[in-house]
Amino acid sequence: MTDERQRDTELVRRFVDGESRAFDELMRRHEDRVFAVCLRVMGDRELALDATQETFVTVYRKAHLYNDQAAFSTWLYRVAVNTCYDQHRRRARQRTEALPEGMEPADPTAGDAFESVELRPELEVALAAIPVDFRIAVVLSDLEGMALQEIATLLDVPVGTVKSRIFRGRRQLAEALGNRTGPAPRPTNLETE
Amino acid sequence: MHEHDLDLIAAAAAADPDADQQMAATLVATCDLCRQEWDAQRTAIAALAAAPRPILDDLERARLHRRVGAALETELPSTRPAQISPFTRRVLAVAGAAAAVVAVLGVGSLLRDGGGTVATVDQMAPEAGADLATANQSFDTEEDTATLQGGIQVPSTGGAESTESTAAAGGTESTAAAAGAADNTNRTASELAAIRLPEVSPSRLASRLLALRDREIGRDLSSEETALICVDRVGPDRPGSEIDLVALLTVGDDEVEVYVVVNDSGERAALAYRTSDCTLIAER
Repeated sequence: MTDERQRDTELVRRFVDGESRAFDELMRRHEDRVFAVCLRVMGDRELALDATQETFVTVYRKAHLYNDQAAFSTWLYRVAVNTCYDQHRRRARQRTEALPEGMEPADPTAGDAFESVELRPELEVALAAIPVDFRIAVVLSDLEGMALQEIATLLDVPVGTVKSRIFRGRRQLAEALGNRTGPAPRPTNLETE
Repeated sequence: MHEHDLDLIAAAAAADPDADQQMAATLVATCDLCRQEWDAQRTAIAALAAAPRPILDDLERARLHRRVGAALETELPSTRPAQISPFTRRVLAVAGAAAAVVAVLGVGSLLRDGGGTVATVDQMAPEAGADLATANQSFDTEEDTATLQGGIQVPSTGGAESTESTAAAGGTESTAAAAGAADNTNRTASELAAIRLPEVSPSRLASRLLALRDREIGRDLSSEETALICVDRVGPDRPGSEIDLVALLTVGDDEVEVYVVVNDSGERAALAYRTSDCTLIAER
């Protein structure tokens, strides 16, 4: 067990034992990363802040349910991802209810969470265009650097499913980016890099 | 015929050590579709690798801390019952004060002494009644939820007579629903009159009530927390019902947990347990 993981586990134990300051430290240690995940998934800083808040409130309530078989960070990001899923669903439902009967949005991506008109880097716009399952897998893998097994544990799906989501997510991300960065170097022999 | 193994290409593009790089190189060199896949994967990987990780700015961080703190102000800690501080219990009691009045009035009609006078909000705790009246200005209740203003009326159900109190402030009449159940107590109205609601400022109470509008908080309190001593009694006593609100009260020297439950039909009931031994002392 790494020092970081040990420290998290110790803090959770102290919090569950009644030391509220331990929760404050847990939050300080992880709030930026949780916010980053939420922002990448939700695509809007205000929505990400909401999701981050909800994540830590849930962690506060459910900390006693955490067992240290998995890293606390894995459990925490699972809560964060589930919170993002929930918010995504709620927003989708609100959009559906807001539409007049029988009317569909002209652009299937127009109603996504990334609908605010503020300018964003093209990567975030492209991320917004891919399905949320793929987006989360890509974010956790390629932006958060999580191992496939950790993502599989976090999402409660097989590793193969994680791989598939990442590959398909990257493919669609590239399409959304329009390959604007030019052709990628191709393998000419056994090496890819 | 050539088979497009796009997963192999994707894995190779990500430098997956398990990928057959030689096979991937061959496919990319000989197959347009495979080459397009390679380009797409590498484009995405490069774009993602170059993206900086966003962090909270100072203002967002301060807002986050403030909002989490506010959300948790009405929460019980995830701790064992023995570790609940008096403050925490008090906070919960404050948060459930509105329901407490509903429940207590419901209990009150059970505690009546042979059809005699029933304690009013004013008799129980005039100050708290005024607080509730003020708090209601910000408490946008749902149709089936108690509306608390100056006067409180408990409509009769199951043959019970309704109970009505005069206004503590403003004189506006409103109603609070509580579903009926059999009277199982012979306590008197004088004991009800001894019930003390928490002393709390209107503004603090209003914020607690606003927080309780989130039904998820209510569900969480009922289903997940173990801090309420008698919560496990509610299920067997009211199978199929869901706890909607909770209040902690003091009756004489006894602490009492009052649970407002709602069944599948939307009928409400209030159950009062003495905390020391979880005896069901009244239900309505």
